Amino acid sequence: MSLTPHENSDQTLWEVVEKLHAIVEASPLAIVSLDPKGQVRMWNRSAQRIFGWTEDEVMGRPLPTVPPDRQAEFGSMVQSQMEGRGWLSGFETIRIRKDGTRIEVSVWSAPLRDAKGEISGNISVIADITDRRRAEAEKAHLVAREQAARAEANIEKRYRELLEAAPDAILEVDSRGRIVLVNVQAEKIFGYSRAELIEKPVEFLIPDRFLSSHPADRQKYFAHPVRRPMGTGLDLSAKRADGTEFAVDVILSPYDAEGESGGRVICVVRDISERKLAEEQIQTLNYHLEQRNREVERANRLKDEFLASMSHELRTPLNAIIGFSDLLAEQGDFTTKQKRFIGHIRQGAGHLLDVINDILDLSKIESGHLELKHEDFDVAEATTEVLAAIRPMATTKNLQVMNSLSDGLSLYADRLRFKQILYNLLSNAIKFTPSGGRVSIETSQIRGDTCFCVADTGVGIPLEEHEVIFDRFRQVGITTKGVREGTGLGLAITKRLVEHHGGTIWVESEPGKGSRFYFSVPLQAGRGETEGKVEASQAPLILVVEDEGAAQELLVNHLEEAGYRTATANSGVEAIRQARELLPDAMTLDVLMPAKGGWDTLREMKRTPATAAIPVIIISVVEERKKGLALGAAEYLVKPVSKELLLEAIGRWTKTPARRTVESPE
Amino acid sequence: MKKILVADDNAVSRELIREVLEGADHEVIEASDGREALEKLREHQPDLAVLDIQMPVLDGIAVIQELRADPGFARLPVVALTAYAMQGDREKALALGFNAYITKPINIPQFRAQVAELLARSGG
Repeated sequence: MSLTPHENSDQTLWEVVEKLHAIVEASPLAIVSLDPKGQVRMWNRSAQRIFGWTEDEVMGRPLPTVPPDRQAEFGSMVQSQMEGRGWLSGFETIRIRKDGTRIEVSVWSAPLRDAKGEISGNISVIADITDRRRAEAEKAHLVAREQAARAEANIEKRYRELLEAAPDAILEVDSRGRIVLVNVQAEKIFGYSRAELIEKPVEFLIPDRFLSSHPADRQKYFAHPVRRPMGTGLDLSAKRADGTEFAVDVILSPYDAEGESGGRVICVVRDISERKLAEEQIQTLNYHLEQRNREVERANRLKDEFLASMSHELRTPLNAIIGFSDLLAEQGDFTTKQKRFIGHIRQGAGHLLDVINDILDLSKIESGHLELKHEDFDVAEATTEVLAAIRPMATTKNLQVMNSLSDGLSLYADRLRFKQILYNLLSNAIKFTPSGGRVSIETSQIRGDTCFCVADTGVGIPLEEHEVIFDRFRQVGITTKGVREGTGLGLAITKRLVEHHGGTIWVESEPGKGSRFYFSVPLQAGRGETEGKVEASQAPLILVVEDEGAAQELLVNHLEEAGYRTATANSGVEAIRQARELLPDAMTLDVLMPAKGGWDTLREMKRTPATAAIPVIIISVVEERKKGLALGAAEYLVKPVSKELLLEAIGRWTKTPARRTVESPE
Repeated sequence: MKKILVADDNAVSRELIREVLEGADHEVIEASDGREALEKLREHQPDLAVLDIQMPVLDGIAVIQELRADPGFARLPVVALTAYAMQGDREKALALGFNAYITKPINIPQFRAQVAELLARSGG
């Protein structure tokens, strides 16, 4: 930088200028000034030092330090300063030196005004911050390296912790079979300190009885080292410091340690003595359980065999008694007295058969083989049937039987089983009520359940017996005949039947004051009042095909009583014509018929599209179910067919009709 | 009149069935075990056989198996008679080739009807 003193300047001014010049030249920062045309007007010594160009090389020339990629930035800066704006304060950018290297700089810059206040260029102070940047970068690098080293140390610590915290014992064994590393769990399960284990041969931990073979096994393993997982079925044992043995599972995993030939083996050893103990206990328990199961199975089988042979042994003599008394009864030439005797024999035998069937029944219920066939039925009608069956017993003993059931009561339950419950309770009541007494049936509704009560004026039951009378083979007291009657199974069966229906049974009684047996039948959930019922006019139509008049009439009666509409046909030919015309909802078909037999009729029905879908229920004297079903029959019933079986079969294939109200004949 | 073989080791049972069948004007041939039943069947060539299942020497099962394997008897109507009334027995008996299955004590009207039907079907 050079200053040319003004011609008219005085001495003092010159001194000031010289002082300023010295300051500018001594500045450690580059000081550069540009004229309004952007040409260098001032270039101090530090500028030369930083950028490499001498004052002579740059004076009056455009600034050479701006690299091409910063020209735009620089241009706009200079322009705004020439307009009096654009202060820069510590602006960091890139400049080039004379030798072409790029340096980082920090720039302070401002517009420069003359005495008149006109813009006369700018002034910039520039610091070379390349060294500072390098130092910063170096420091960052050092910090990162330090962090990495710390992290590495942490990982190693973590691995160490993992090793020590492992729930299994971990040992490292070198190619000579010496222990070179152990963890805490290894110390714990073997009962040695680390110092006691290191450098010891691995046989140190092997029970004596395996010692002779282990070194050979080990050498064999090192010859063919493979990973051997736990639970490979080997029954392995290890030895503790105190000499005791314990069951272990071992994983062996070979690996090549750096700079060592022959490799090493990682052994993971798990103490499984507790598991072994538990396994042994389970085995013992299983064994006992199996034994017990076998005994139970055997007992069950014996029970079934006993029931089967009992049934057989009793049925054979019963066959003779019932068969011959029936044959006798068919021969009309007897006195009234003789006929009554035959009747007694027949009735007694019938009762005995009931007992046998009771036992088989209870056995079936208890083994879970009982299936209830639920249906809507008229209670009064079912009760009348039961009363008809027990009335002879009541009449013999001169007992009054009262039926206080309300008309039109209907139940959704297994009709046969309901009758069985009622029969059992009524016959019990009769058995235990002295001559001249009274037996009655009542009904009530309790919280939606239908509740029945069979009451008598009999001997009564002491309070402490109210529960046990429902057990098997438990009979309380003696009947009015002075003897035990029946098998003592009636109430047991009755209780189970009630409970199978979801109901309960109980008794209210005192000795000498008669008994009241109650049982409830719950309303079936989800069953509406009208569900499954149809108006009489829409009742399903059943075509009854039967050539024998009496049999036909019986079938029609059964069906109409249950609310079905019926049509009849007396031959196969007529049946096919009727089926085409009426398109019934179902059809019963006799097999033996004139003018086209049942089989041909069935074949033709199934061949004809119009009638193929009509369910055909075969009713035959002969058991040829397979043939019937193969020809397309829906059901196969063997004569004589009970009303229940018939309605059940028809019910499976048609809608349930609205049942007629049956007047109680009581 | 038809010839009917009745095989049952219980003499009273045989007499009962004989009585029922003779009442329907049939001729009855009796056998008291399975072997005798087979011999009498071959000798008399009856129109129908009633076999008790539980019999000594040869039981009813063995007899029906032998009969169904013999072309001469493959179509003979045979009624099984048993005092066992356990579930599933009926199906087993029918599967073996019996034409009907009756449990003791016999329901006489039903037995009569079944015999009549079987005889009618086997060529009246």
